[in-house]
Amino acid sequence: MAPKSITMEYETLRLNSDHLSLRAIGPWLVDLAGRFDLQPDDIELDAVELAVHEVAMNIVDHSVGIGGGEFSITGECDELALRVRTFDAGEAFARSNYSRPKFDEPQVRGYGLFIAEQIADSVRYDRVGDQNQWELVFSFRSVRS
Amino acid sequence: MTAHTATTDSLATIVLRGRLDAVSAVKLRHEIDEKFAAERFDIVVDLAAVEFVDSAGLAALANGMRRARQNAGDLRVVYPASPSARRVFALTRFDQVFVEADATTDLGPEWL
Repeated sequence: MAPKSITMEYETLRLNSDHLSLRAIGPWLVDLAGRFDLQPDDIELDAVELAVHEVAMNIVDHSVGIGGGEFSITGECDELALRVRTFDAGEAFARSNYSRPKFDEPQVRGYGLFIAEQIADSVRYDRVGDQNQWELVFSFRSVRS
Repeated sequence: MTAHTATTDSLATIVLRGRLDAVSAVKLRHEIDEKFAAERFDIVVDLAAVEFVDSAGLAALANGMRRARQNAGDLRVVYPASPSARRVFALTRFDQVFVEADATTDLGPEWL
């Protein structure tokens, strides 16, 4: 991986809050990776898409609501990691209502955020004013090793 | 997602291609419901050609499996050939819950 000496930001992806719109995340990430000159050795883009997709689906289903408006996604890259952030003005995330899946009895729902947490190196939630912000950090493989 | 279904005396098969996400999971649930309505509770969902699976797709499969088992049947899966599409099963440990089916044969040209 070529060292990235400065932080680079990529254009914001704005999505309608519906499930079909989430299909734009993958192509957006591919374009982002191209702009940042990220290589397959740097990061597994399919995994990044799944993690971001799951957080975005939580926004559609539980925060903004289906057809309830828009939300946005930004990408930023430095020499250590890719950072993807989401911004929405929907309902606040109630962490107290979230629990990790119980694997002794397979459940049908509740895996979205868990999947994102398994893939990303960190998943952080903040409520800033009337806005929800999620940040997912994906360290480059060369940094992990 | 495209889907093709076929039914034999012993087994109902649903073959999917493309993305199994929150959009196409609705279609999969409908396909499974139709099998159950026809009292077919042994189902294989062939995901070999599926390129992306999210938690909504997984939920549709898990819900179908649970209902099939409640009716003395099962919903088995042919796992995606794509390692990235298989990932969600390993992350959620559903790869230890679904019974893996053998790859299905060509079921013909008619796709729903």
